[in-house]
Amino acid sequence: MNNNELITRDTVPEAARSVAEKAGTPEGREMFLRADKDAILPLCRALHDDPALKYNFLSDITAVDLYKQEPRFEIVYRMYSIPDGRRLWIKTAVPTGEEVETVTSVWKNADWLEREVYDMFGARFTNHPDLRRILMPANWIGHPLRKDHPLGNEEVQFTINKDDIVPQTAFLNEHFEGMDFAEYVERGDEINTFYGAANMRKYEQEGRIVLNMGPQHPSTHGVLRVILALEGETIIDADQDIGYIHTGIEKTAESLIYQQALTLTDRMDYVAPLMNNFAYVLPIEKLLGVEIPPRGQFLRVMLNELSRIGSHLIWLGTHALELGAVSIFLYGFRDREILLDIFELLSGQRMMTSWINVGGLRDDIPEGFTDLVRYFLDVFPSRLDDYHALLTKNPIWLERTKGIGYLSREDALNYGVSGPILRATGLAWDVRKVWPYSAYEEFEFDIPTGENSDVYDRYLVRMEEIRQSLRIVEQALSKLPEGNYRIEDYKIVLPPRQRLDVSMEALIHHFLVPTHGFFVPAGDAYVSTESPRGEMGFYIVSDGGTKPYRMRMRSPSFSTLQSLPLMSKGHLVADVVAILGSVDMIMGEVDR
Amino acid sequence: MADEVNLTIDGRQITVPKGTLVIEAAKKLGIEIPIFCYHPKMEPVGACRQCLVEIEGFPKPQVSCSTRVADGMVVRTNTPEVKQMWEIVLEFLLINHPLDCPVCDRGGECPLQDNTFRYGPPDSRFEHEKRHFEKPVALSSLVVLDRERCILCFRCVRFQREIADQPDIQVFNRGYGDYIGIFPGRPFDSNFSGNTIELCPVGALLSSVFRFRARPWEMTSTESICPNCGVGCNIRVNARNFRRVVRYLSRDNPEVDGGWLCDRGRFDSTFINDPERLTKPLVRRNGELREATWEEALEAAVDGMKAAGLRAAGIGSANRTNEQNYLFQKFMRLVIGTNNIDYTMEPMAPGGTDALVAGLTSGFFSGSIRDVASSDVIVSFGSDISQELPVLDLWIKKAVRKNGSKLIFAYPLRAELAKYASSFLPYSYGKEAGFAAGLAAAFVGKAPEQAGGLSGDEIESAAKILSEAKIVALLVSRSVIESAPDGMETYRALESLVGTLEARGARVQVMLLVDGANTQGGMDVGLLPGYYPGYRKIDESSCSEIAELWGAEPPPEPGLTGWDVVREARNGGVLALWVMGQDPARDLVRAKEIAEALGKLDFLVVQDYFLTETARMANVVLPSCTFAETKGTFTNTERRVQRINQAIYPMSDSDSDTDIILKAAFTAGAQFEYGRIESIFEEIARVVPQYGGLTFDSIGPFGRQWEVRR
Repeated sequence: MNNNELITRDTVPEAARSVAEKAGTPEGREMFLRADKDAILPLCRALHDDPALKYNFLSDITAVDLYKQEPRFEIVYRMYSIPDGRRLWIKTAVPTGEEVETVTSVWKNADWLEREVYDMFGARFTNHPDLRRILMPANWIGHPLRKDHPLGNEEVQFTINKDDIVPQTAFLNEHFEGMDFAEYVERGDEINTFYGAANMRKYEQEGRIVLNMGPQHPSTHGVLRVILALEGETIIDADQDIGYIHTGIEKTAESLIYQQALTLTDRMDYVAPLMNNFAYVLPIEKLLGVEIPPRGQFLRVMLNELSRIGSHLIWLGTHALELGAVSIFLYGFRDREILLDIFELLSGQRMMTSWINVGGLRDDIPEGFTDLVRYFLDVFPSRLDDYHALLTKNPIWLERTKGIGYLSREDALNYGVSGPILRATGLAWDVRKVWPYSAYEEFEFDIPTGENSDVYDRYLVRMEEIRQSLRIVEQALSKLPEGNYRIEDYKIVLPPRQRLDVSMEALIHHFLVPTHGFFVPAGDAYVSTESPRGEMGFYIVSDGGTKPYRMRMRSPSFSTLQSLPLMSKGHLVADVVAILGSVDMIMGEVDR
Repeated sequence: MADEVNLTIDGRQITVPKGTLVIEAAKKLGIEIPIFCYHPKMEPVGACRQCLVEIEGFPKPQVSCSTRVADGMVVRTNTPEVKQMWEIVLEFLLINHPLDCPVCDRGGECPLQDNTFRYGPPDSRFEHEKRHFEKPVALSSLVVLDRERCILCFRCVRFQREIADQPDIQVFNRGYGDYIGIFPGRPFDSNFSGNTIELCPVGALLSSVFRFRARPWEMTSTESICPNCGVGCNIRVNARNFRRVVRYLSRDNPEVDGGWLCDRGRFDSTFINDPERLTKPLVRRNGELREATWEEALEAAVDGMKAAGLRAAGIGSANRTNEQNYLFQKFMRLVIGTNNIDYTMEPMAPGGTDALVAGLTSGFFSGSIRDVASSDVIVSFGSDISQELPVLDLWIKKAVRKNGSKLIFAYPLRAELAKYASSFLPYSYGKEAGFAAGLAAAFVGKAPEQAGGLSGDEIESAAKILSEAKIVALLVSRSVIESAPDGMETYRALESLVGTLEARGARVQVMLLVDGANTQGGMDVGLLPGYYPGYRKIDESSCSEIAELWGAEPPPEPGLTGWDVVREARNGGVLALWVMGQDPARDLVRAKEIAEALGKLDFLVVQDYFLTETARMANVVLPSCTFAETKGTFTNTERRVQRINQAIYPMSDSDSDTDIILKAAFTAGAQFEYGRIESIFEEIARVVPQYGGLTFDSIGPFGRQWEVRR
């Protein structure tokens, strides 16, 4: 059967067989299936369970609102077979008001992913264990990523017009029967708080302590609310309430042209902004069908790896700080300052540079850039040795991190955990090696792994990753090609300033590319990249226009965070701090 | 079918009526072809060559804007050759185009930029000196020409020649030396010159009012209606930062304005943000008008009006919305307690208003603007349309010049339309009734020797034209019915004329020509002393009907007209007056009497945007908002209710007239409760039978007419 035939519940076995047949062939490396919504659960189960298929890793579930068309929602599943490296997509059409069966019984991280689809689009999943909103507050009306969700200027409800504003009244009647408007306004916060802890209420009723950790907390690594159910000091269960830093980036991007939306991406994983830029422009360049010249590719890799080091320095500093090793924090940030100086020299900005653009980079590296990078490469390795000396055999450090937060490889894969945590289970899985992008295949570097899959091993893995990144930067620096740092198609990138004095066409394009925006051919694309947190990528859907129809960020921390309760059970409250440090999530990318 | 044609474009089949242009057929399939000189409302010329396509069987590419479809035609727009042709044409056009984008108004809304981006080359191969002209050149005080930017599409010249019939702008020289210009010493004076600015595909023709004011992405665009005359052209109000209105653009209501605006309306936006706008309420203390708070001003206003009791009066406005006028008359009737309400202080002839109302309520006046386009005879009685309703002028010119319709133009002066008339009838002022009767009589073969100041022959020749008509559009000015003497007789004569025409098998549509933007609406919602809203003649039974609808009883006796008020004020018969949105002291004809009357009043409240002559005489001045700062409806001359929407925040302390009235009512202790403008309109729809069934939403972006069938 070919990739485009719609798979129904009855034809699932046949489809699975056909996919299995192609598994060894080049075509099997990445497959695109379309399925009827009733076929989803059996198909996913077959793809997961069948030993010839073994799609054991669910990368993402997301949706696209086709608005004005029925069926309205296209739900997109993306799964991988790790470590084989085969990828598979399933798309299914879901009309308004209809449901798809949940696949949480196949992959655990479908739980949060499906909750987000429900929250943002209103599409429901049958038999989902806990279909609640995940990012939006409990009393939010509507589903924000729908195309007909208001973008602002909604009429505010006052007593004189409360009967005219139908949605709010209908919401009250549906969810809070009998409650009048004034009471609802007063109790709004309370409603949200309890909604977020809904799963933990049962422990309260049993007489256990339910403790809120966060969202205001010095050691939760961002605005995260963890709700712990305790037996004494031991954690018997945990849940998380996220969405405190949700700023609607994906929705905002839909009303900005591609270059403008780029600036939003810096803010997602905000400790490694250039990596987000990179992951964002790759699928767009795929849709445009453009190839970046070698110099541009090497520079991108260099900046990417410098960002990785910067991110790991924050991880190291804050992780150690929270466990009491304050000095490491200051050392780490001291070294990160050099990196920020490098970014500032490059772009004028320390952090949100938006420097990796569609078509290449915003500009070539300035004078003095290579010298500063070389300086960093000279001073930093020995400093890294110092940090090792301070922590790696430190008894307090060992006590706080060894044996803590264990996550089996099975569970890691089933929770969609990638990056250093997956590598700490012993699996040498890195997107840069498996699906190389932007000339990574031309660099020599190793993938460190761990054995015990605890907080300590994750620490060792990341420390070694820093060293490997240093290797890559050194290679990029010494082998940097000459030539263009970007493509020269003025319908996509800006013409050089000198042309504006003499060329009418260049002036027109210089006017329209930033104001009107360049066109991206209709279609959808996704490119996986390796962020310090795991597999990250942007799923871009274009309608042929100048703005992304859908910009979806696959956030590695989002899936990883879901496994936190599993890693925490049986440990003490103080251990949660260590575990969170080893997860190294950035709430900016979790919540977006 | 015989008059349909099948053709294929880019492999896709389509069937279109015979005579369709290839480019129009492509558009129906959603296929875009770049153009410059082509315009759907003008004859194609094929001047720019941008729209070249391949048509099978033709050795050379053809211009799709000038080629009509043929059965079996195969057209291709998506081949590499066609793409290359489009690129080449653009390259040629850009050779001499100046690098003005940064300083050109058009940047960001420029077809040349857009086409170059989509279809043109990314960089230039031209290395020589471009052609130069002195620039810019002011063609008039409103229109500026930059010859270097002109791509010689000739749309401006064609518009003036084909549509406005005022060819003030022309092409000079020929070939490479072509340029656009005006006759030496004669500015580009056409009343429609502003349309060329919108038509121009580049920044060659620019508005001097709008020049350098804003980039397109900085502006918001709000759908609204021009407040200048009874046509009610649909406009877009462009504003910056929700604070400054920078220009009006057309909005193309095919049944009202056909996509055109007149200069008077188009360039009128500057008054909105004028620094002279009233910013605070004013109250006269010790002989001088001083700033006051809203509370002080409204209290003073209400007290002053109520003190006059039955000797109070109110004048509403032809350029305020229905909601504002409706609330105003309701306020005057219920809160101040008087039926002395009118929309004008001009003298009306006795019985004139009754005749007008009779015509409106009987369905006699039920014609539409679009009737002009489809009639073979158009009769215009009593209006210099080119001055009073300029865009209607364009419809008449089109009918006469393109469709062969005949115009009978009856007006005391040789106005512009007279030269299009097959019969020009300059009856004498004051003799309208006689003229109408004479025409009606002539039509049944009993032409008098002379009537209304015209000879029997003149009238007979007009009657002859009418006798050959199958579809007639009769346009009657409000003034010949309401202000001219013997209006009722004129009305009866017209009724009789129409009756006879219809008996002979002709179809006749009669439209009342009302020159104010919302005069029609003002009358509909009750700005008439002898009628409650909805043309209910004031008597016992209509009084209780209104009392039922309003939950309170209005005064039961008819009130004084605006002119009565002027007369009565001089002898103490009227003591207090509230004027909303008018400057009667500046009336063209009666200024002296009116100013005298206003001076004799005990108390005068004026609600307006500027400190007008009338306002200077007031005891209380209330700063109101313009149409761009509020939301509501206007009703145009063809009884079409159209929406205006809020484009900017109210200026400083000014308040919308609806809010002013509501607060005044509240100050007086009355309870006028309306949540929003839509609710006021809902009440209007309940109270005014002609608006029954309409809601603010259902009016839609192009408005809805009210009609009473005969």
